[in-house]
Amino acid sequence: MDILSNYSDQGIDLSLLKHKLNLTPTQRLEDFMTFMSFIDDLRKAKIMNKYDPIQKDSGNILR
Amino acid sequence: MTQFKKILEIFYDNQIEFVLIGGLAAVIHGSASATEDVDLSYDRNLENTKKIVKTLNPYHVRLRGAEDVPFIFDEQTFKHSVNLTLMTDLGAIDLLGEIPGYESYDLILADSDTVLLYDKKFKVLSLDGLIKNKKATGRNKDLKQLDELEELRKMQQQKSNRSEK
Repeated sequence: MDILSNYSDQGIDLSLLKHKLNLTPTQRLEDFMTFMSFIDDLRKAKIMNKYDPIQKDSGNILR
Repeated sequence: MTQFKKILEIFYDNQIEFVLIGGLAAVIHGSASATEDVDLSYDRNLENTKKIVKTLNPYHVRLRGAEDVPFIFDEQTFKHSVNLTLMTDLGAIDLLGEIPGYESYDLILADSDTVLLYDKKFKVLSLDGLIKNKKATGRNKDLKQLDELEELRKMQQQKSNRSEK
């Protein structure tokens, strides 16, 4: 993945999307589950609190 | 945490007719968004709903958001409800018989891609299909994700144009 990200006019991290597109679908799923597991660990450690990026129905996009 | 892989596996192994849609489908296409549930569009025929009941019942199916409410998950459930928002021991699962932008399961199926995940073939709603669904839904959180999906589509087209040259 590029170290310096470039963003679209809408604020989408294009470098991250480029990285994802170079993965196979299985790798994308694995990547996602690793990330969700990390978020889960932070939640269990009560680190996330109000800064949790996956607040219910927030629709926030993680980058 | 929702056991995303396990949910897909049990649906596949029990030969349930379904199309993966929603946030997880977007992830499969390359989205960097997060989701906590598995959204599945399913064929509403009786044989299929029986398979779903048999597959999910060992995982203590409850109504998400009303988990204290007594709930029996059987074939009758599908006669009364088209879209079910469920919690199970494997995590959150949405079973959707109808989704905005599509008039039938067959049309959803026709708009799906066959995707290889862990050497198994799954039906996943296409990027164009996800965009169509998000636009038809019109919820704020869906519209926010539209920008990302459209950017992905643009990048995929550029990639395939390059490989054709």
